[in-house]
Amino acid sequence: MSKVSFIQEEMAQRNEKAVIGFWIYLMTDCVLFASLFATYAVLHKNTYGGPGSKDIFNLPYVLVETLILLTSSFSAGIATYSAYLYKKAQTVIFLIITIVLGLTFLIMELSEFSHLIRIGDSFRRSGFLSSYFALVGTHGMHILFGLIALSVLVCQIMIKGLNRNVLRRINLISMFWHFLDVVWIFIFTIVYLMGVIK
Amino acid sequence: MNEINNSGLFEIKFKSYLIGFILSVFLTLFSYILVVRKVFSADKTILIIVITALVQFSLQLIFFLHINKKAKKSWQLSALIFMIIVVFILVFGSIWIMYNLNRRMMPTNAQVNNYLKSQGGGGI
Repeated sequence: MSKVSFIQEEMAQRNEKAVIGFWIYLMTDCVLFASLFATYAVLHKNTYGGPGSKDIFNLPYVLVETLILLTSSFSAGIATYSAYLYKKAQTVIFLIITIVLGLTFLIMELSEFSHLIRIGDSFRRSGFLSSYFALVGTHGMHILFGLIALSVLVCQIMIKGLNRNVLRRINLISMFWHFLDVVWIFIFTIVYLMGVIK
Repeated sequence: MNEINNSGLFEIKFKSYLIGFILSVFLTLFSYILVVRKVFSADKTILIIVITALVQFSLQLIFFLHINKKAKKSWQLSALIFMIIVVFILVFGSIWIMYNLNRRMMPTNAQVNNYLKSQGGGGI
């Protein structure tokens, strides 16, 4: 075994431990989202005379949001792939693409929220709107923290280069980002698509 | 090289991301079009989009998060299965209990009033 492959082997083992811990965190985060989904499922018909899900959702807008988040998840994956090939510039470019797409998603979501609040359908309006804001807002907050982490990571790559700690972080953050995309599949299907059908 | 490839870190491949991405976009558009065009009745559409979401969920787990049957990753799979069970109990348990409670709830004064009026009597 050459020296390089020995180092890679050792890195892989360290990485393994970090991935275990982070995966356990993601699974517990799933429980948080599950309880919010359960709240939404219970409350989504309690509109208290206010608008129902059919009245406030703009499906084409949400579809664009979904595709943007999906693309950002893809580019996070490509960034991880480039990092393992030690292509620094390519990694940074794809991480920046991820940040820009994630930021676009967050801004779109916030403008949707502020539109709802402006026309008087804020989370105070009804049980349905409270549970909707709580569920989608929690997802948005995860996106915000993910964006902060990604920005810090880009700075670290610029300053420190692709050392093994940075590589590990890239792997974990891209896992986090994929996880958020997975949660969004269910928000898109259960909240938006099913909300418009009924 | 084989040892490194099996160590779980360097098996990430560009192709798997691309396949996962294209399939996810396809499935997202599929369920969107199904809902917007109203191809099927409401119940059927809900069933189909839920199945589509579950398929997309497993696709993203496999292609993006690299969950597979490799021995070293079995802890990842078992944590995932445990999570799915907890989520299932949490979500379906809540729905089950709350919908039953809704049905067994005592009627409000207004509901009793309306009922009495509909029967031709005066209110309370």
